Amino acid sequence: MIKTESLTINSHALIRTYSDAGFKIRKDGTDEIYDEAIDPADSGRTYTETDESIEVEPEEIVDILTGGES
Amino acid sequence: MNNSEILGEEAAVRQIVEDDFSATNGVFEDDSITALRASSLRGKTNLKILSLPNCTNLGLDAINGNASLESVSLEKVKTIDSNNFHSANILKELVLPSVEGALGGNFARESYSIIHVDLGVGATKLNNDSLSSKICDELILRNPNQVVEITGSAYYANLVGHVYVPSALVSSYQTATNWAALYAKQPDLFRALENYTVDGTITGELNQTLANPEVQPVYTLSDQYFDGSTYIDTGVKLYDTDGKFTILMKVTIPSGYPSSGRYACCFSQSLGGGFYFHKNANSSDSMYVHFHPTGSTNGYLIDAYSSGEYLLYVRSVGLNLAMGTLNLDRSHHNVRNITRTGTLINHSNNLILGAHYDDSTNTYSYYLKGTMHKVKVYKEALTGHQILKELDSF
Repeated sequence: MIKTESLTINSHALIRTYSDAGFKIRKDGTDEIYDEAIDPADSGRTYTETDESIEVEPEEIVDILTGGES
Repeated sequence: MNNSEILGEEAAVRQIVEDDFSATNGVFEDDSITALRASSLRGKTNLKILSLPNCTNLGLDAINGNASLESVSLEKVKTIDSNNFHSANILKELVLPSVEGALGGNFARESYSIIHVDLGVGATKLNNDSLSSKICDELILRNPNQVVEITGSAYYANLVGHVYVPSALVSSYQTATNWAALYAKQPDLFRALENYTVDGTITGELNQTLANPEVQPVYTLSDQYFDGSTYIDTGVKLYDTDGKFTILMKVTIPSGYPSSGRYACCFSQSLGGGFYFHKNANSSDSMYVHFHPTGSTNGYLIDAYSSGEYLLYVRSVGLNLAMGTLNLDRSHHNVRNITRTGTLINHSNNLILGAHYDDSTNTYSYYLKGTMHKVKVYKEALTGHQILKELDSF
């Protein structure tokens, strides 16, 4: 499911969009795919959940297994 | 998908399995190679100089874990799969004029010395964890037609320097997905590419008004031992009206000092709120910056170093501070950017080395015991590139 949360950084209002199921998301009307998206709150951008999982890159797998930098 | 599938049998694909490049003093130059297979140069720790003028493709992990890699020449590389330039610990520059499309994830990840990345007009996307080395003073994105996408802002959270983009796209970058969050943290993040100068010394508008491109320090110190009871008053008042200064330092603090719960102060300025940069004797053996302007905004760096030698820097531009620590082999580099609240610090007091001066009680404390090998203080805001170049000579 697509989730959103509001952020404020240096008085800039932003909105973070992500999939709570670990899928990548697509910006509606485009081919842009993101793991998560952070936009100005007034941008009006919307996203759709894809069926593509956020992959763990091989180096990340090593870090996860070893608990830190490899 | 491997390189043969990508390029077809016509492509000259060569796998370098046995060669550790020790016989060529770390140099690998070959104009017959058109692609690097997956993992072909992975872990080649003797590799120093890589020149493949006709290579157009880098496979998965092709250039990964090359701890001695100093320079690369890959002018024709078009496609870059994931994990390339990962852990190239001393590599400083990456210029890829022919790259096209999306770069693979983990591009230049954890390559802590990279400070200059230049991607040609065809680059369209930086994938997950790219450039997550926490320092890249100059990221050049030349695509004139669109914003180069990034898939998540967290990995760029500690950008010290600037992203140079075509002037017509500056406003688009400021509101682009994930870039907007970085812009919110660092209002001067995006610069017009047309203003970028490549003289090797001056970059960015901060220094463009200088008549002399060589920025000179207003105070220097070399090889000064502090015995834990003395300090040096530099006589330097850091602030004029624009809040610009840079402090660079190489210092050795003995193992086991200071004692638990104490601090060894490297430099400080007080009055109306101040700041100090000190080693904190806690369990993580951290280097710590403590900053107290009016409104009490704190910034701090924490890392654990195995030796007592540190490279430190603080750079101020108005209310924006960048603070960094590096260990000598550049395997750790932490940088923290903060935007202070309140006003600029009153500059009536001088910068003090080796102790913390508290103007409210007119006392000195937290003395340093150790050696400052070199100190340079500037009343200008050096770019991140300049800072690292200077620290190279410390």
